[in-house]
Amino acid sequence: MRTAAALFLAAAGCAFLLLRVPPAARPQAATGDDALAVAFGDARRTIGAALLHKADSYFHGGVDMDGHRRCELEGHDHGGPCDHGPCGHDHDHGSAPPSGNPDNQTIPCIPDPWRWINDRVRAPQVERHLEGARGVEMIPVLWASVRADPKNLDAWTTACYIANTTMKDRALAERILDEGLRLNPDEPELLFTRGRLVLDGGKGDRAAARALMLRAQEVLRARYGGDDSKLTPGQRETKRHLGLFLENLR
Amino acid sequence: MKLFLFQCRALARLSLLELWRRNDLFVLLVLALVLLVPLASAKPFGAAGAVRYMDEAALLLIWGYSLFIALGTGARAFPPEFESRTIYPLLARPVSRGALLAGKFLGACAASLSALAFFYLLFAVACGLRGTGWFPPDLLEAFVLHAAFVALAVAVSMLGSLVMTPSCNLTLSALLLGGMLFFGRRLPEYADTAGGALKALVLALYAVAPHAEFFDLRQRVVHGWGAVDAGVVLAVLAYAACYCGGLLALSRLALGKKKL
Amino acid sequence: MDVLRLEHVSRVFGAVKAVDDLSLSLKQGEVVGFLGTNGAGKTTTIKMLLGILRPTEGTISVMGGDPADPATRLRVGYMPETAYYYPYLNARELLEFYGGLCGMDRRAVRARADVLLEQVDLAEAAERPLKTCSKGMLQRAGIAQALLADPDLLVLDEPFTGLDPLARIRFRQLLQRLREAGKSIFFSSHELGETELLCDRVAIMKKGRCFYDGPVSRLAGDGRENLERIFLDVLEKGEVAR
Repeated sequence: MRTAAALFLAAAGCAFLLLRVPPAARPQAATGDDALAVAFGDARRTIGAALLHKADSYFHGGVDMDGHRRCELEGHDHGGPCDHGPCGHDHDHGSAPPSGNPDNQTIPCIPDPWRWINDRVRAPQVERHLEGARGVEMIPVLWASVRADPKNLDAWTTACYIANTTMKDRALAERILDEGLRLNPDEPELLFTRGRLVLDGGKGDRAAARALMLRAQEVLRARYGGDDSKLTPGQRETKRHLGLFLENLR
Repeated sequence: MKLFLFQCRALARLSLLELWRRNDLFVLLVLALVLLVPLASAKPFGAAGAVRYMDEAALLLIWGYSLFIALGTGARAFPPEFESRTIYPLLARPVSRGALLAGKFLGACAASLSALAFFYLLFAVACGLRGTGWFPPDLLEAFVLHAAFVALAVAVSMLGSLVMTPSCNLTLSALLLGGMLFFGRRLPEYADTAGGALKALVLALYAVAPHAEFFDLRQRVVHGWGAVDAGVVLAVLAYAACYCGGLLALSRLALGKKKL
Repeated sequence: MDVLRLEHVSRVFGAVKAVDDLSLSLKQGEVVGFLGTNGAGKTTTIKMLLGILRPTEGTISVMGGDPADPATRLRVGYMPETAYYYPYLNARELLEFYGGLCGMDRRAVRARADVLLEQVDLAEAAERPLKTCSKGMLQRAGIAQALLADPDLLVLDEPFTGLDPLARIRFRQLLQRLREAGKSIFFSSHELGETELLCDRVAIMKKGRCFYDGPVSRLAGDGRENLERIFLDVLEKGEVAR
């Protein structure tokens, strides 16, 4: 009887907590018609996004940047890096209002009786970016992200950026993008990124770069008919950059 | 005192022999190798030299296995004694119930910690062979705190073994500790978005649940954040000691009420 | 001196009175057989003697002390009815384990274990895991662990169960030697023949009450009655027919 009651309470608690997931945190429907995408749909997108987030934390030396950025948006002033949720650090909000807070209001902290231990066990001593060859640490995580969700364009472009800009390994960046384009043919964002890679800061093959970027532009026009309201923020950004690059490549 | 130590040693040896003869440990080790060896030999996009993902995967496996072993060892401390009636010749010895409980707890901890030390030793050797350092201070610190967590997990499952069935005990203990390990830090944020009774419930849970995340130094080890201050380590160890003490006191009450 | 004394002991479980106003004693060097059908209260009585259960009423004295006191139990050896032991241990490790619980150091336990394993004819199988041993072997391992700390009082619950005839004879001879050495033995049994051969006194239980407590010789003194006949009389009529 006690066992049944305990299990029921545990299940009810989990179900109740799950029902209250905020809308912004709920995963969106996944696109794609392969069996895994159909079977796992949202889960693949969520896993892919989570792994991309992990790769970002790897870049920042293990620091959870979501918490850090949230802290800045809320106007918390802190002297250094942190790894916490909103207001998870030792600020005396009762005395001086933090800078960047337009209303000069004190911001109440979320009560945490264990903050002293949490901040010291979890907080890193310094936030360090992965530089140079150490950028390779992100590659396996990004690889896992695109394996989980091949349509995770951010992961493909991030991997390319890390390989080309951080690690200075052009061949690796090309392999990554070619793989991305193989799995996502005619994807404008990837075509544009491939074109930039070929351009190599102006030192590369301008004609080949232009051809790739024109192709990306054509795909955007064909798919969305010039209606920018149908574009995702990433596609809008890509379209804007395409315009700028193609203007310079005339 | 001498008798108590002899009894604890005898009970501890019993748990150790059982763990190492059940072959669970070797099954886990083989499973770990099956998972990690392909991972280590993989070259994502043809790029070699990444080690942090391997460290993170290995430490995650160590945490998972140690939780499995600790909960299993603690959960097996008393129920088989009652089922097979070996509790009677046990209590017929000059052993008080308190000494029996203490001996069983220490035995389960010894067994679980021996497995944990074995896994950490393998990890440290792998790090040393790779050239990233033999037994760095942050890894030793991580082991010490992880050992404290293992003792806490044993205490949780031991109390559960005296008040519920084995399957219920393992499920709830794993949910509680695993949940706190991965999601415990998010509870205050979640409480902040909730309101009323739910907020109070979540905050109460956050206040009293065993905080597995205090003992988790994986990120520090993987990303080289360096060792935690000794004062913080002592505070966490004190937390573990107090929590274990409370759980063992409750276990003693439960054992006293057990029908024999 | 009484090594064992029960005075008006009762034990109640909810609405069930498992033991009802039981008074018994056992002198040093005596062997007392505790007889009764299943559910008569024998095992409950033994658990109270070992301090595992507390009597609801009455007092129990073992070796002059409270059986709930661990120091008292140091001088008591107990063999359970059901011979289940730790499957991952062998007989030698089992004895080392119980020896540790009695505060014996390793060397003393090992020496004693060698002697006992020889006595109960388990020396050759001492290294075999108990999960591979037969019921009779487990029973003999149980006898060995009861004798481990050289106790003054032996409490045996159905000691002859699972023993083949030869093992039964040897065990009876062992118990007789222990009695001659001054040990006191209190055992419950369903084996009336062995009880008749071994015991100085018997106590016969029925539904928690003791209907007979006295010498075996008084019961079968004229040779016309045997213990089996007397036992049936007690169970059927609730008294000893004269």
